[in-house]
Amino acid sequence: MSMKDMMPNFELYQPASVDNALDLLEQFGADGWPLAGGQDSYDWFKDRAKKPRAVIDLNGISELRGIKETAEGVEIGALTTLTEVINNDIIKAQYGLLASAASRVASPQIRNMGTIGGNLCQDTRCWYYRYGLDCYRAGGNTCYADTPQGMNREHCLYEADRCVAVSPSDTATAVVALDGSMVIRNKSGEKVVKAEEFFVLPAVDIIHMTILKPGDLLTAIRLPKTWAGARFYFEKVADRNTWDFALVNISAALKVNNGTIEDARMVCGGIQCTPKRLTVVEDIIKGSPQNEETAELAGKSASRGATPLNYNHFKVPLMENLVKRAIRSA
Amino acid sequence: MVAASKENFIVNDKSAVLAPDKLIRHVRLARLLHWLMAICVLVLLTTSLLPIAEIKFSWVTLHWVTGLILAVTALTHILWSLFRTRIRQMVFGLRDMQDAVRTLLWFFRISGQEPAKPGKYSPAQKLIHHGFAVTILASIVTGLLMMVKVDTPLWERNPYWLSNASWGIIYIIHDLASMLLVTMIMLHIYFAFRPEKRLYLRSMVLGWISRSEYASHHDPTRWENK
Repeated sequence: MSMKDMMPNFELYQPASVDNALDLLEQFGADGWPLAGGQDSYDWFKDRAKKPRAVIDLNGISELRGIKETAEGVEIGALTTLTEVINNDIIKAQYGLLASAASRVASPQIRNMGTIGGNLCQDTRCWYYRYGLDCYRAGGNTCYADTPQGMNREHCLYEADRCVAVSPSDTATAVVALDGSMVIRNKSGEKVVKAEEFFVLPAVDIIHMTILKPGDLLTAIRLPKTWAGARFYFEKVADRNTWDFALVNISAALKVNNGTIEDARMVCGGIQCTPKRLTVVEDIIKGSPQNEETAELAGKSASRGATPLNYNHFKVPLMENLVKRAIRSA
Repeated sequence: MVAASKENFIVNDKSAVLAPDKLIRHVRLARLLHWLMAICVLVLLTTSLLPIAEIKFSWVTLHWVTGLILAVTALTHILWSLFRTRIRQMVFGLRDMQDAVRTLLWFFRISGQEPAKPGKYSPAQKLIHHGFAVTILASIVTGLLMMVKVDTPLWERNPYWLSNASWGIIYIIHDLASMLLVTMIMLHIYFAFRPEKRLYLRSMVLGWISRSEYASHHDPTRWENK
């Protein structure tokens, strides 16, 4: 498959309301492609790796934009750009973890166009899949990355099930760490699911990264007050600091009282197909003092159960060290 | 007629006598293997087809573990049939062919000659058995080959073991066998619950048929192994 100069033909629809968009999404089903910032979509189209019949451009739907405070916390419209998330006063003051994570996504230009909904829903970066090979994720019957010869430096440590791809989203780890929820609408109505349940493992659905089905639309992200104003830490390790996807990233939210960690949520990205809650680490550090000893112990336990592939053993110490740093620095 | 058949039956297959009015059609091991295979096939079909119907769950491990149980069960059935039972009772021979033609001619009212009574198994039962045997064995063999492509506690996956074209053929055989199994199971269950066939369903549950059923449905001279 080679990169084409021309964008392929598709029907373009520009709905002005969510209801209108849902009508179109239902009408086209799997042949419809909801377009937000387009920072990933256009690559897919140009590479001819995805060939939707209809593109439903959501950018004219104002109700999908903006950040507002609610009685339960804060609600972020799915079409809110990453730059808007980073610069929002409420997010900066109360949910700094998300602002930090969003600020490490790609480049300023991409953050100006890219949306939080798009960042959360983006597809994996596995280069075999992106290249258009007929792997499991593309509906085929093999994984080219998990083979003796496969180049799997960027791939997963956990929950491989035929496919070894990882979630590339930086904001996903933060939203899960903040115990966020996703608001999903379709023609049947609206449902709210926990962010942890929004992302799916290949064992459950090898073709999709999220539970979104044709006809579904992510309309908003809700962050509860539970973790507002907690101590946060986000770090992303990538091959290039200026513009790259995470090899491993970590989002940590800690509630500390008199030097003791009372509660914690730690989530790692880049190590499995979904943001991974480090529940073992959380259990270890809850009730422990926030000190070097706790950090060391938690770091050692962080990678328990990891099964590295041929070329990604480096992710194990990387993950352990990120956990240590998160506990030291949050 | 009943007396003659009883005498003939006892002479040729003493182990089949359960009680004065009941005859064993399927011994305990045969029934156990049948139901075990049935459960395995249903689990295998469920785990593979539900995700296609958008009911998503983690199915792969359950699928291949059940597949292994089916393989062991089928192997046990084959070995037991070869060495401990009269396998010729299940052979579809020339006489079965003649019986089948005669039944069809009678069914379509081309001939007035009634179908002949079968031995232990009718031509239709033999055919459905052989249909299941072929499709299940095809599923097992292709499924075992496909296990090379999944990680198990015993080995790591290797998708390059065969060429893409070979894998394609294996997948097609596996999928076609699965589709055939769905059809045959529907047929099998339909006939198992037909009023005139329920004695066979009961015999697969409890093991026996009554002597009167034996006399009215079977030809004693053909029941035993020859």
